[in-house]
Amino acid sequence: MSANAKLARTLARFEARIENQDFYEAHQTLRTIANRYVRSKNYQEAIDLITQGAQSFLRAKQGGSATDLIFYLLEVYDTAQVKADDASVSRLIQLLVAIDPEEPNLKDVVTGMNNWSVKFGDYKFGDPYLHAVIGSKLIDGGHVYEAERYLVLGTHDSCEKYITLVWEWFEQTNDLATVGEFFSRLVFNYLFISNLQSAYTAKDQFLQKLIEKYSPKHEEINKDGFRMYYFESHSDLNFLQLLLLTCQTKDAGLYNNLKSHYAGSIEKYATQLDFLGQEYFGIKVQKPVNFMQDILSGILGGK
Amino acid sequence: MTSPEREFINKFLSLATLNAPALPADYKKSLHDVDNLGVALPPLRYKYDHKRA
Repeated sequence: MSANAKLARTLARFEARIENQDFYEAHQTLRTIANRYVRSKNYQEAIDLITQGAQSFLRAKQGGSATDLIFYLLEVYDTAQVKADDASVSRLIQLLVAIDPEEPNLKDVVTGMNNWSVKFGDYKFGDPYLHAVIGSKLIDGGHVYEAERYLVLGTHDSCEKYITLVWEWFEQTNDLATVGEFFSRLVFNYLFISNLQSAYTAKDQFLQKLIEKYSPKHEEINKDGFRMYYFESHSDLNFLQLLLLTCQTKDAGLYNNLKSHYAGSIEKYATQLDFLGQEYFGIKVQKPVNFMQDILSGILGGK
Repeated sequence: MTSPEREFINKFLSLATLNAPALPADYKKSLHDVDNLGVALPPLRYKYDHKRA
């Protein structure tokens, strides 16, 4: 019998057990056979079998067994040194799409998937397409801060999702005074990774929503291709828009000029601005001086 | 009468747009090259209710 026919027969037996609600038996049998494949280094068969098994458990709403098999799949990925390419990533994406967002293991599952894509892919923080799906799943499960990080490092769609998330979050508070805290997350997170394109998209979309819904007193300013909204009672929003333009110029003089005018904002965002100062303007952050340490490290030849 | 902030913005924009910016507005560092995520932002004071969205 060919390997494919054997695999198909195993899966048919497995499906029959799932249909009979014999989940424990189904799980054990599948793991035993997958183990056999792994030991004989038939990784592709093991991967196909485990993936299909996990999909069936997800369809049968058996989240525990399904996520156990997903972890097992990641183990096999690791053992077989599977590269993060279209096929291997989309296999994970299909599983992820089918997971119930309320699954208690969700955060561990996505971390496991991302760690694999870090280890066997070209991106230091993991695969962007994987991030896009992880991000929306985490939002659906209410894990917003975790979602935020993945969305920022995701695809173009993730940017739209991130803007919508921050907007809905702000709308839920329904407190206009807090709008700067929300808007600043979009601006800073995209500036940190030098994604001006998404920072501008976020600025335009978020502020347009704000104006449409709450009509705060504002004026549109257009200056040589730079467009901003001046808000009479939201100087933090003005500051953040100017910050975006300033980072684009990489002009340290302008940066210092901006900071000296908005003393209140720079206090609130001190660590964020230190980072941007270094990233865009080459301004080194002065560490507090410790003479003893300097002398000692001088003697020991360190530094 | 215009406010001091509005005046500052006017002057600032004139200065900032004097020369072409160093980076285009659609600049995006490739995610392949991103090796630093900046600083972690403080959590917001409000909880997000995903059931309401």
